[in-house]
Amino acid sequence: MPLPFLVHSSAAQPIFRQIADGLRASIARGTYAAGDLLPSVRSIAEELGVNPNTVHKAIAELEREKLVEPERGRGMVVRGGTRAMARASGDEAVLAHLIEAARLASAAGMSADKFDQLVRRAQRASATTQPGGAP
Amino acid sequence: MNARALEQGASFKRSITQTLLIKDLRLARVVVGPALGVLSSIALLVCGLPLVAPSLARLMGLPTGRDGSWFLVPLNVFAFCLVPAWTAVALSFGELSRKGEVLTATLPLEGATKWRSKFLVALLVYAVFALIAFATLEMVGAAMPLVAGAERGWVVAVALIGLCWGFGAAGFTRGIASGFGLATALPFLAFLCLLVVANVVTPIFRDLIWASIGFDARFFPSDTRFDIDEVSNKANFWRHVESPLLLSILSSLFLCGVWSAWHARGWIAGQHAAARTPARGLLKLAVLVVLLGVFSSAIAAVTAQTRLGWNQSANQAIMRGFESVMAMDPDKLADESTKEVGLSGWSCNQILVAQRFAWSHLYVAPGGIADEVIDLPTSRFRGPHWDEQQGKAVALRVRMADPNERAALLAAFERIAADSTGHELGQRLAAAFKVESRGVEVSLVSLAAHAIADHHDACDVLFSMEVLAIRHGTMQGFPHGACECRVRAVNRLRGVRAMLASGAPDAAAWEGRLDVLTVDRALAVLSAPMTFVRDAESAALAAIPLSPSDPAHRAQLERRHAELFACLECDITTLIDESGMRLEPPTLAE
Amino acid sequence: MSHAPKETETRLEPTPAFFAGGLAGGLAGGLALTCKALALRFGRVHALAGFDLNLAEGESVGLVGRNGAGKSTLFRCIVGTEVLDAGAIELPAGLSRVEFLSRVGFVPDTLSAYDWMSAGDAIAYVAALQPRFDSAWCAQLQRLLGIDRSAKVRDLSRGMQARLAFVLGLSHRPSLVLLDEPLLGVDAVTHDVVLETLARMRCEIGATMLIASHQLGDLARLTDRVVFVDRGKVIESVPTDELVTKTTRLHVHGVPRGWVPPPNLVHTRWLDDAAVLTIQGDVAVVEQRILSSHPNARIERVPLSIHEACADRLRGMEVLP
Repeated sequence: MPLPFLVHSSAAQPIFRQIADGLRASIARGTYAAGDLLPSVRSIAEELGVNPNTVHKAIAELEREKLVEPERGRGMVVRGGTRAMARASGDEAVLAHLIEAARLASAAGMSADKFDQLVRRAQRASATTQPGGAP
Repeated sequence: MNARALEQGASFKRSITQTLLIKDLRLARVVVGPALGVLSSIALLVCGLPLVAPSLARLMGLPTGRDGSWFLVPLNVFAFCLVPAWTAVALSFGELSRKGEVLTATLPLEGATKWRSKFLVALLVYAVFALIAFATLEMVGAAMPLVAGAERGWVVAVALIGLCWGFGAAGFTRGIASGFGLATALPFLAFLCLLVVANVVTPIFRDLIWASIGFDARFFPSDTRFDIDEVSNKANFWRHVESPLLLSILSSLFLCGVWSAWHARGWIAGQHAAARTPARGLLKLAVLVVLLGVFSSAIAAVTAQTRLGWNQSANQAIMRGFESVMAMDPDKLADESTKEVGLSGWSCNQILVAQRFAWSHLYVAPGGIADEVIDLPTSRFRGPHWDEQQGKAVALRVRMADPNERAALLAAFERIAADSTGHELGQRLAAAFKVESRGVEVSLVSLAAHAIADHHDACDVLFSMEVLAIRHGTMQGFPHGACECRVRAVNRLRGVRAMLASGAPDAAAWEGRLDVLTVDRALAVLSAPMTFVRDAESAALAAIPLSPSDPAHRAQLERRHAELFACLECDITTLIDESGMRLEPPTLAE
Repeated sequence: MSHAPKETETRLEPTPAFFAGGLAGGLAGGLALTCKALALRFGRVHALAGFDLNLAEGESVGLVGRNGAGKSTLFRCIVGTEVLDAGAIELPAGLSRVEFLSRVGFVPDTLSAYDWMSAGDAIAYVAALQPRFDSAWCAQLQRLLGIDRSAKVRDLSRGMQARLAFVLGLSHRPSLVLLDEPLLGVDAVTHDVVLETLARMRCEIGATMLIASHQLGDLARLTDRVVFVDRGKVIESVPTDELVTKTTRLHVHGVPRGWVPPPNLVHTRWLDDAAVLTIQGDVAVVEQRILSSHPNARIERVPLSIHEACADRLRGMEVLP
């Protein structure tokens, strides 16, 4: 199965974080359900063309967040009940983006209502482009 | 799997050596290709065109026939000297210019493997061009003395030296163009440098050697003509040094080439350290060249001295003779120098047969003349103190050149010539000879005329006759020129008599030495058949000790005697008439 | 102000255990390499002047520096086309130079292959002389990179040359990969193939990598840490992730021109009235310090990609004595 995300080498985010975010979002969306095997370091590294150490670092972060756990002989397995956790840690990621957006809005002199409207429009727009996405 | 192997194209794998050789042959092609192209097209043009289209060849001004192709020889020899060197340059710089440098450097190969392959290719090119040069020489250059025979060795050596320097160029530059330049110019420069060093250092070594074995530069033994002149003696030594020096210089040039190739081995194997510090490398090379130049000079000087046989004994003998004469009292010198050196124990008769002029050429080896006097199979005869006598002769010349010494010596010679009691006639004549170096020859002629007039001794008469003849232009002495000697002696005396009788102013010089009466008596002796010689000497002549065991030799001697006596015993009128001379040697009765 | 190389702290320890997650066993592992005080001079130019670098087994290190900083020379010294004036390249214990070279894959910035060869000839040349040549792997590389075996080396375009250089350098599955500007002039597809191939070699062999590149985004993907090189010396060694996470740009308004910037500064310059500071480490602390001395200052945080982070470091190195 191809990875449901890409990394951007010239982004302001380090690669390992982009991978961790991508994997986390995939778990949150249910692309990797509880008990599923996470793609191996090797397959992720080869597919994205990145340093396996970086991939390892990203997965180690998920492991630290208790989203995945190593299983002997198989690899990294997504833990049960982790979707909510992924979502919770996803909340923070979303929040970080929203803070950035709110900063932009206030700089543009936008009202709070207008900002809320925009947030909703964004939700609708993402729902139409991602039919299998999060409800 | 099969398809994959095809796709790789690597299923057929060459060996490492083979791969490197192919690569290096490709690198060598840069030089070898054009060189072969140029040589073969010139050869075709010169040899082929006149055959195919003679008129066109004439139109192009090409020489026709075999005669015209001679210049292919120097051309190919030149190519043989140059192409291996340039190939070496192409091989050592080729990786860089053909862009294979990093590729080969990153492959896990030993440096030696890499340069071995290059060296093999260079040797191959060397062999091919040697073959071309010598094959051309065989085919069209048979009539060429320039590059024939012995010179081939030099050509082979020069090409080999060039090869080494070609590889060495990589150690001194990073550019292929300057590589070609250096490979060509550096050996020439080194050669010049070696020559200069040798020219400066060899004389120093020569002087050191001479000083260490006590060899005096003034007394350099010579096969031809000994001279006290130091400059010519040193030049004489240089003649012996030349060929060993050239050989050792070429060896040094070869060694320098080998060193520079070794110095550049890293580059040849793909590392660039050697050429990164060209100044340091060139400095080392220069030091090496100078050292080897000094070394070659030493070798050449020692070799030359060895060829001379470390001949200090001859040198010492010459010096001894020289020093003894230089220190001698004038009277004693005059006495000694007019004694018949090397003739003691020889009878007059023997001298008559074998030793023409021996008495007059004092101190000069009598043996040198003996050979031409009679065609005897005797080898060169040297007096027992040949070297010492050379020294004495030169010393006498030196003293005679000094005006004061000359006067004293001449007076001493005069005294000997005038002394009829204390000295033999031979010595007196010799002394007179020294005095009368030119001009009137008063004492010499009057001494001879008196001796003939008195004719106490047959030998004295013959000596005197010969002296008179010699001073009258005789080309041959005894025994060959016996007739001529007699005729010229007579003519000489007749001339003197006419001069004395006429009372010319010149006659004053003869006053008290010679009178007309004595001359007439002498003429009478010479004109009448001189049978007294045979009477006095026939017994001794028969017992001549020269190669008596050889019957042919003996027969020859007897023939000589017959000739001699025929000349002496005939009537003078058969040899000479009143008006002049008619020189027909009397026919021998068989 | 000075950035002392922090080799030991910043090096990411390779964790052999992590391969167990998804990699097949029996890997050869990467080669370690130590460069000690390398010095090399070309005339008056010091191409290398006391260059120190420690490559741990399986580590991937990026080399970043201005043109002429000595990166290419370093590679040439490692493979042996240049010989050092001083210093030493310490090979792993027990390896001879030739054995070492048989495990090194060098991809130079310009293709090195004899100009009379076709691509196929060049590959056959390497195949004959490289004892560890892996023909199956080489075939795979050729297919992935689309090598036209019949094309003459001298006719190849820049991108094609880069592709062939890749095949020639890596066809023996080296355990130390040296890449000098590997992605210059290649198309987007080749770019991806190369990145994937390198990632694969990292995974399968655990190859140690040393990559010199001005494509800093690629370094971000490929390396564990980035080494900054200037005038033949290592100036600084920074873990790749920290280049982005710990480097921040601040636009400071309302400070006088002669203002002395705080420590942890990577680079500073002035744009109109604003000081543009690039700092490393904790942003909040720096902001606090600026505000305590200049209460009226207005500070904007601008996030940086690896490109700007590296470029500012390079700019910062220029003002170093």
